[in-house]
Amino acid sequence: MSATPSSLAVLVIDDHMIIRQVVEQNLKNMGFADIDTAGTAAEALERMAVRNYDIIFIDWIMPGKSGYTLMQECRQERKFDDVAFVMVTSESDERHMIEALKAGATSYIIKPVLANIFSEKVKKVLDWLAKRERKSDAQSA
Amino acid sequence: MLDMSGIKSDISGVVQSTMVETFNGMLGQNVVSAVVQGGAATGGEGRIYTCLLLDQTRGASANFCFSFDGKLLARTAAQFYPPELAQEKNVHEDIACAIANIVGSKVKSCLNKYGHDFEMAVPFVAGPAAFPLGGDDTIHLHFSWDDYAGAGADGVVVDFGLDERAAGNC
Repeated sequence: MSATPSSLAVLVIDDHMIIRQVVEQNLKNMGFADIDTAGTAAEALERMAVRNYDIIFIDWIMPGKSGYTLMQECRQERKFDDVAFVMVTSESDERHMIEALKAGATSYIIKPVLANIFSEKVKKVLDWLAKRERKSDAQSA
Repeated sequence: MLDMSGIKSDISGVVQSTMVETFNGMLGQNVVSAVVQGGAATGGEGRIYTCLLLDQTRGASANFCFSFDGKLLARTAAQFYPPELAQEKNVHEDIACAIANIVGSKVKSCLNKYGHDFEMAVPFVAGPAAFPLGGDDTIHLHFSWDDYAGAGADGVVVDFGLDERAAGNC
């Protein structure tokens, strides 16, 4: 794995089709090409069962299982240790942000999704992935 | 009972700035905001209604009813979807709920700064008949498209006046 957009697999989870479109469009503008989407936690779990993702963009509040709960459950599994979770949510209260980061979010983007902020946050996520990769390489050397 | 007139004045700026930021910054539109009394009573074709409940652990709740003119949603949908999909009602409903969710969350944060402890439920689509118009705990927000704003901009009208009119106008 290399932390360049074109080489990374991304999953976008949001119950609103328009938000999935917006996030996907922003990712494509940054050079991402391998993008899957899911409208519910159940659909996301189906996708995650058959392939691995490097970055998962996840909405907090969704009908059925919330994105927050899904992320917490994923973080219990070792296979997600090197996966970046980006919470994309309309929850703008500081306490929600802290809660999400404590629960394992790598980054937090507040809706409305604005291209410049999105891009800045995703670049930091790419840095995080690169650091994880270097750490992993050092451990296996 | 919440002082809804006080709340309306507290949130009007938040609603307008969030709407403009959402339409222009996220959805690729070019809109300005304005307050126009009576904007909600006309142009009902294709209108989409969404409701949002803000609930407090202790204390009164507040209902927010959002209505969007079909033309406003169609223009937005056309930015993201092929023409045949951009006209579909479920696509418009999805956009309306996504916007209601964003605006509702900002309103919630604003109100909580005034000492409330509102939590927000997931917005849902409703018909005009389901709207609790005129209720003391209801704020109606209408968003329309108009070209009155002049060349190069579409107008998003934020209207707080509907709940003072007769039910059935909506």
